[in-house]
Amino acid sequence: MAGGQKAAKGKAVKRGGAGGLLLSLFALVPLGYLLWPTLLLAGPLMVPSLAAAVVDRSRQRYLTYAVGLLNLACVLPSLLRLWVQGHDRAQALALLAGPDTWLLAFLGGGLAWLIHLAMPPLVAAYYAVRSRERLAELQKRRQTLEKNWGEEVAGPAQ
Amino acid sequence: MAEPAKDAMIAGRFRVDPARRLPLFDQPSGLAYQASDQKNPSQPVFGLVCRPDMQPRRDVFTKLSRLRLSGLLAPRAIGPLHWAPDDAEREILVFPQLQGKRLAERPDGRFEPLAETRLSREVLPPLVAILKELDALYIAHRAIRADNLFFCGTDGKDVVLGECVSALPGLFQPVAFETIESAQALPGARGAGRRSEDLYALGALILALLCGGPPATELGDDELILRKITRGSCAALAGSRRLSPAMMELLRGLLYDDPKERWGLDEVQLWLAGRRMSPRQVLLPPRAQRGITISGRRCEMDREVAHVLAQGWSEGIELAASGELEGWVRRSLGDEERSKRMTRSRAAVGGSPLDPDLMLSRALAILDPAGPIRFKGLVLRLDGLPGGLAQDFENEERRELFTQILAQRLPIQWIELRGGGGADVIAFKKLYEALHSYLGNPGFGFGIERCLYEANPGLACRSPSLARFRVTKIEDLLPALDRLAAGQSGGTGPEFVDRHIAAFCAARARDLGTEVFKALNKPDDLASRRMAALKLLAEVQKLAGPPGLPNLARAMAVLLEPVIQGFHNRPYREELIAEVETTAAQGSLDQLLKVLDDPKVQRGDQLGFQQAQALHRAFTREIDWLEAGGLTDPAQIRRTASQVTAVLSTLAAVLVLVATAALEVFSL
Repeated sequence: MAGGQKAAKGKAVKRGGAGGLLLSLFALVPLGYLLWPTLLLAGPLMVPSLAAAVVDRSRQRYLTYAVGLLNLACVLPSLLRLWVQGHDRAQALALLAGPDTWLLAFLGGGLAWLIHLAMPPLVAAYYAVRSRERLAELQKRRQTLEKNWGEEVAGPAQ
Repeated sequence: MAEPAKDAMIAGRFRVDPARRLPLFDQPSGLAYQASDQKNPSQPVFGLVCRPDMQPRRDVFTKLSRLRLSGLLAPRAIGPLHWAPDDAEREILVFPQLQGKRLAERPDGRFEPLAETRLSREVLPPLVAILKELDALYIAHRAIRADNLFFCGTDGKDVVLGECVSALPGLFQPVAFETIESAQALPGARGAGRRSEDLYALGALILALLCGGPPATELGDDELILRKITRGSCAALAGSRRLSPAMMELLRGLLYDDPKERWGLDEVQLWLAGRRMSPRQVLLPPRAQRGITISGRRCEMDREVAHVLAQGWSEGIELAASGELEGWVRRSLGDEERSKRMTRSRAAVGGSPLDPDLMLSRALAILDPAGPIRFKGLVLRLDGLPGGLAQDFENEERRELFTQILAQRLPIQWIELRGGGGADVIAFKKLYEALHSYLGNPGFGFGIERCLYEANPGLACRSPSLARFRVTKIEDLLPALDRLAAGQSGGTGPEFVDRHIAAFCAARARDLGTEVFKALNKPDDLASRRMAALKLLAEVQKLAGPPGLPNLARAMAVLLEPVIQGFHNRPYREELIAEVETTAAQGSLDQLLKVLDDPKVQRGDQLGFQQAQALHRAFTREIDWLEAGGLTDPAQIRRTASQVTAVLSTLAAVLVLVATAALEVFSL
C-alpha cells in the first residue's frame, strides 16, 4: 500500500519535472532567438571555461569559478562592442573574425589556468615554512613552561 | 685569674671541678666532686653529679634550699651543667661539705655498734628534730639508712642526716628500711610516702646502729618481706637480738606495720624524754584455719598470699579464675564479705569477659588492701606510679605494662576497691583519670610520653635528640635545640620534634592547645609534618623564648626543603630559598613560619600550576599535529590553493572590468 503511494508520488514529480522543462523550452526559444548574436559571440570565446567545468571534479568547483570569472571578464569588452555597434549576427561574426577578441578571451582563461597550476607548490612552500616557525615557537613556549614549573607540568591534570 | 663564665656555673656562683673527686660524699645516685662558691670562697662545698638516669626531687629541693638545718645535708643549688668528662649536661646538686665521716660506706657495710645510751642521748634527738622540721614542710626524707648518716664535728658526735634530693624517694633504700608495702614495690615506684615511712626507716636505722650493720642481712629481700608479713616487721628485723625493754618499746612503736598504729614524732619525743608507755604487743593479721599452697609455699595470711601470687602471676590467674582464691578467703579466713567482693570484682564488665590480668589485680587489691598495686609482675604504690614510669620508661616491657595499667584505669579501680582515701588520694585519682585520657590519643603530644611528663613535673625531656642535655623547663627546650643544631655539621640533622619533645611541650606549655599537634600525625607526608614541627616550635618560642635561635632556624630551614620543593613555580622557589635563608639568620621561627606558610601564595602557586598544565597540554597537542604534517597535508594544500586561485582570479576579473570600463569612458 505504502509502496504504491510512493510510486504515484514519483510519477507526479516526473510529470511536474517534464512540464517545467517544456515550459522552460517555450521560454528559452524566443530568448535564444533574441540573444542569438550574443550567444554566437560568447559561445566560442568561453571554451576555456567549458574545459575547466569538464575537468573540475571538486565539490566546491573553485577552478570552474576562477576560470569562468576571468574568462567572462575578458569576453565582456567584445560583448559590449557587439551590444553597442549593433546586436546582429553579422557584427558577431565580424568580431569573431578579429584576433584581438580571441586573444583577450583566451588570455583571461589561460591566466586563471596558470594561477591554478602555480598555486599548490607556492602554498606548500608557504605552509612548510609556517609549520617550522610555529613548531619552533611552540617548543620554546613549552620549554619555558617546563623551566618555570618543572617536568611535572607535563603530568596529568590535578 | 680569669673569672669563669657564668654559664659554666650552677646558680651563677658554684663551680664544680671534675678533676677533684670527693668519694666521702658519693651517693648511689651520683659521684661527688670538689666545688667552689664564687660568692663565698671560704665556704667549702661539693657537687654531686647525678647519674643520667636519676630524677632529682626538684619539689623537695625548692623547699629545702631555703632552710639552714644543721642536722641535714641540705642542697644549696641545683642545675644542669655541661659535664666535661661525659661531654653532656648532668644534673648537679651543690651541698655544703661536712667535716666528719659517713657511718657506713655501703648499704650493707658494718660499723662499730652504738650503745643504747649514746643512741638515745646523742643520735636520736637531732634526727627527730630534723624529721620534725621536714614534717613541718610536708617532706618525707625517704633515704634514712646507715650509709646516709654522718658523724661530724670535732669530736664526731654531731649527727647529720644525708641528702634526700638526688634520687626518687626510697629508690636506694634496702628492703629492711622500707615498710612492707613499700618494700614490695619496684624501687622506683615506692612513692614520696609520708612521715610514717620515715619513722619506720628510723626504727630500722636504730636497729642497725645498735647491731653495727643493717638488720636481717642473712635473709634475701623476698624472704625478709615474707617474714615481715608473717611475724611483723619488728620481730623480723630484730630477730633474736637482746635489747632492753625500753628500746624494744621504741622499736615496736616505730616498726608497727599498720601505719595508723605506728608511733608518731610526738610519741618518740615522749620516749626520749623518758616517758615509758605500757608495752603493746604487735597485732598480726589473722591466720587462716587452713593454709593454701602456692608455688610450693604454704601460705596462711592474706598479705602473704597476695605477695606470693603477685610473683607467680599465671598461677594466680588460675586460682582467681577458678574461684579457689575467694573460696579460701570464705572458708579458711572466714571472711564472707571479702569473698563476695572478690566474686563481684571478677564478674564480666558490660557483657564482655574481664581481662584475666585485671581480674587477678583486682582480686589482690581486695585480698591485701594495704598492699601496693600489682599487675603482671609490676608492683607499685599509688603515689609511686609516676616515679616508676620515669625510672623504667626505657625498659620496653615495663613501659608496656605501665601503659596497660593506665589504659585499664587500674589505679582508679584500686582506689575504688580499697575505699576511703584523703585529699591526696583524690588528687591522684584526678591525675590518673587525666593520664587515661591522654593514652586514648596515640598521636604526637599524647600517649604514654605525655603521661610521663604530666605525672613527673620536674622530669627532664627524654628525647634521644636531647640525650646530651637536661631540659626540665619549657624555657630550656629551644636553647638546647639551638645548641644541638649548632653542633650539626652539614646535611640534615634530627627531626627536632619527636614524640618526647611534642609530649614535653604539651605537658609543660598548656597554652599551646591541641591543634598544633594534629598536623604532626601524618607519617607519610614529610613536608606537612616538618611544617607542623616548625609551627609547634614557633609557638613555644612565642611562649617561652628566646627571641633569637639562628642555629635552630637554619637547621629547620634545611629540614623544610621538602616544603620549598612543594612549590611548583621554580623562580618563586629560588626567591623563597633566599628569603628563608635571610629570615633564618634572624633566628625567629615565627617569621620563618610566616614566610613558608602563606595560604595565598600556596593557592596562587597551585592555580598557576594548573593553568600551566593546561597550556602545556595544548602546546603538546599542536606540536604533535604539526609534526604529523597537519599543516603540510596535500589535501589541505590543494584546498587552500584552490581557494587562493579563486580569490586571485576574482581580483584579476575586477581589474579587467575596471580597465574595460576605463577604456570605454576614454573612447567616448
